[in-house]
Amino acid sequence: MLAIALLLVASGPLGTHSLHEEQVIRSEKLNFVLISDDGRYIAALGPGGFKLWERDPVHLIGAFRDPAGRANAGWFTSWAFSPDGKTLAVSDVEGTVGLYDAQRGDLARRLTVSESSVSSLAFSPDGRLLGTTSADHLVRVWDVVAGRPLWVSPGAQIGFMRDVAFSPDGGKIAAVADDANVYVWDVFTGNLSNTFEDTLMASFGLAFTKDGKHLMVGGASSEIFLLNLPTGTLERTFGRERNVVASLKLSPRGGMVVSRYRNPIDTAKAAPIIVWDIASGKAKLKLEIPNTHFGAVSWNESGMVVTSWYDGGLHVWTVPRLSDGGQPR
Amino acid sequence: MAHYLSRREVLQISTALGGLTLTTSRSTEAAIDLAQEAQKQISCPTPTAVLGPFYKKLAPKRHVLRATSDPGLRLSVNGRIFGARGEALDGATIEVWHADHFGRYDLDGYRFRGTLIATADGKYGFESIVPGHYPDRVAQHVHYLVNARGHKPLVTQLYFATDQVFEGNPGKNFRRDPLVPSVDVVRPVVLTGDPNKVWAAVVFDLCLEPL
Repeated sequence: MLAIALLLVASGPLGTHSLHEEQVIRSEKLNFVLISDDGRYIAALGPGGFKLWERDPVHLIGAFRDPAGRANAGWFTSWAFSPDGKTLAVSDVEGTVGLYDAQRGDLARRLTVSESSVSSLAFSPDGRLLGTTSADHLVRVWDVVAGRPLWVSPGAQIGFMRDVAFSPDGGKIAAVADDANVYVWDVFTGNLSNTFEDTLMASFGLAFTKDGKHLMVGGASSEIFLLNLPTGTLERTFGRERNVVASLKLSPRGGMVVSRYRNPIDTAKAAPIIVWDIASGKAKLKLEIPNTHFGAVSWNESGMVVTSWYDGGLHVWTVPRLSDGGQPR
Repeated sequence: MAHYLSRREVLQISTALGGLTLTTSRSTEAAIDLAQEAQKQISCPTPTAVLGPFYKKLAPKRHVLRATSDPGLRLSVNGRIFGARGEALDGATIEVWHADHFGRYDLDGYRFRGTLIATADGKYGFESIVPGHYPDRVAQHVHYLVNARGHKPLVTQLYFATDQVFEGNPGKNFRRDPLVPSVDVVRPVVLTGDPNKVWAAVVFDLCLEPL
């Protein structure tokens, strides 16, 4: 068993978090790990393709290989589970998105999104729309059922867009780009509604607040920016850390945000996960395990599930019932 | 009597060394002339490369990016900004940024970052150090973002023909870094100065597309 040093830093009593390692899934070397919002499914990408497990109890649903045998880290670009966990969307460098049936473990459909690499994707909250960004600097919103784009809009003029997200009501879609700007569109018209230019450096992750009026973004500046959509201004920053922010996820009631970090120079080096209280800007919990990479996080009313991996194993950690007072007023 | 190389001989040696030219102070001027001569064959528009995740807005206007205490081989880059018809783009803004000698970008401040303004004849230049390698990227490089009125923004990167990654033959090996778009942006390096104060000189002209 791998010796694990676990560092917990919390503003409240440590005992309430009762973090524990729930499962270890033996696996080949991994590049990316994803978990569905309900915590039921885990996907992991390694050199030989990607695998999908049901988590409780651990059950391998399938080992996916693209029909052309391209499902590897050099081909893969981004992925997301649908909100109901039933569909896994996987994008690639050739500009397509594969929609995989998470229960049966097979490729249901493939969308041809772009002539260039797809850089990020996200499902709308009702699972009916899929937002994509691609290396041709275009943003697209797709009707998943009909398999056709609702609209295509120019995104960042000069920079790669690395993450995209829908607002909780499904009315807005936002993307962050290497040009250090943040863009927000109206989902139904495709019109650009906000361009935030206050972030000096690129953001790599974003999350809307519960009421959809704010957007949190984080990236190379190593802190989280709280952007006000109605006023179009930067409200404040919080959560400064020495690593860069790789992704953000809002807590179920909206009072906290979990930030996954990565080392800015060497992504092979370990970096922490930190839970921040949005109102106070203080850290509630910090997870840092030597030689271990954190993957995606699921967070619902029954608790937080954190994935991590090292060469040879995929770990699943549960953090039940962090005290979440809800969205700050 | 010392044998001074002809221009043809220097070019041949330069090619054999992967673009590295060693000069004494007496022949520095000739070597730079040679590099500029080779530069005349630039493609237009300049091939683009990715902006990368570490661009930072509002870099200060300055042409000396290094501090005297910074480790690394001293670097001098000069060039001109052209439009597609060969006209000098007076007043073009050139933002440059690169990693330090150890391959680290400054995310907190503006070390090795600067904004330059092209002169009336399109010239620009800056002094820094040759950037280091870092684990997630194969080749040493300097990022460029160039803006000029009436032209599309140009996002590209400068590479060094002396980079060990190219093994002395950038024409054959430039694809070893998949982000290098063309051998045109892998530039010859002139090592010059005196033995106690060697610096690397590079000429990098850029050509922008009209809107």
